[in-house]
Amino acid sequence: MEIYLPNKFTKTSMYRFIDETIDADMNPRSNHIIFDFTTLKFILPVGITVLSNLIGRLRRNGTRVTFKYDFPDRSKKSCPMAFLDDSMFFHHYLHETLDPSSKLRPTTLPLANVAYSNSFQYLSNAMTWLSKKLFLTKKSLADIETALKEIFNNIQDHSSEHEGSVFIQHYPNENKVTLSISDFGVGIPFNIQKLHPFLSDGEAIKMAIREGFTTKTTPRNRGAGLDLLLHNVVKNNCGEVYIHSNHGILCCKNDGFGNMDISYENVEGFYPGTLLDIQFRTDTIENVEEEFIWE
Amino acid sequence: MGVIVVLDHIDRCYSNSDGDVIRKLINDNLTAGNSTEVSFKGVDSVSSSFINSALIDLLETYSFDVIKKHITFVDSSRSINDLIKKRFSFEVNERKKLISV
Repeated sequence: MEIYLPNKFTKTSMYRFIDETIDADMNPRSNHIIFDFTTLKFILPVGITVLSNLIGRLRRNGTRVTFKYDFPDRSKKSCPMAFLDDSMFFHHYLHETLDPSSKLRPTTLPLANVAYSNSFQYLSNAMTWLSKKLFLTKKSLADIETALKEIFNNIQDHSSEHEGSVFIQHYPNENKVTLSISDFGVGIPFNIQKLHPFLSDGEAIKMAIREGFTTKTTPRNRGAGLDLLLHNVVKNNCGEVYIHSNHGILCCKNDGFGNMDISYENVEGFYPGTLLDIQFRTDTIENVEEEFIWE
Repeated sequence: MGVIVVLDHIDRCYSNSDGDVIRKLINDNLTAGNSTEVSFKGVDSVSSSFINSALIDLLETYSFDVIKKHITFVDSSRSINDLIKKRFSFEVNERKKLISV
């Protein structure tokens, strides 16, 4: 079965692509799937993460996965195949780049499938990489590192998969870093609707981010993780967080006055797990030494 | 005053079980009647799971006033300090709501 990648692989177009690949029970629609990259014109980090999750799911189900593609055309200013090849996407799956001249761009931290047992080291390495890009100390990135630790702890505590696909892209001209991380598990709404069955998926995600709310999937949970993620990225950093899970999407942005502006919606498309698309700003990070004082 | 340098006892401040190690050390100090200085020397960041298990779980045994009086933190950062205070602020307020009801 041949499945064409979307022209523009974004958070919006991903739903149809996922639905074409796997059914509502996350079963592959064919035992041999050919992903056709020839239709791809543009891909965001989220697209790379979603594609990685899908390929992982297909392979775990015993599906044969092959790629159909055009050779990267570096004469074009923004060739998506060159971007993917330089991001080591094809090296990740084919053990070699398509173009021998492809090399990792200084603004990209390549796709990684990170199990919880490796996540601490992965995050430490990612922050080292980022600190060098931004000429900051690792300690300055503490808010960001903590936010990412919360995500991995959440995957460990709540997801059936215990592994996330991560891709990080630095946009120096825009003073931002985009991080996309996803796991294909049951999703946030699934767990919450066990306790609150009348909530929509969007409402369920909104409940999940509330400080103190927990489904106690593991007994030690105190419901602090997602709230802290948003606090650090949106309130402190003035970044943005999108959470896609099942039919729900939650968006959290800074309103410009230091407060979080949270909105959610329910969509027809289905995300089989949880995807976090995080943009944090690099021009709002400061290294603040501080003595501890109880208030 | 007992000093606990966290990285002398654990490799990272990441999981609940990391926090359990530190909480037990703090508890031993408090039980012996000693105040505790917790040093985050070498620690860039912590997680809420770690703070919950290392510190918040102490509220099961000690009042917040006792914790404030006998535990302090050094070699930390704004990020770590904010997380500690945020967690305590929330959990202590939640306990007050339960008592009020």
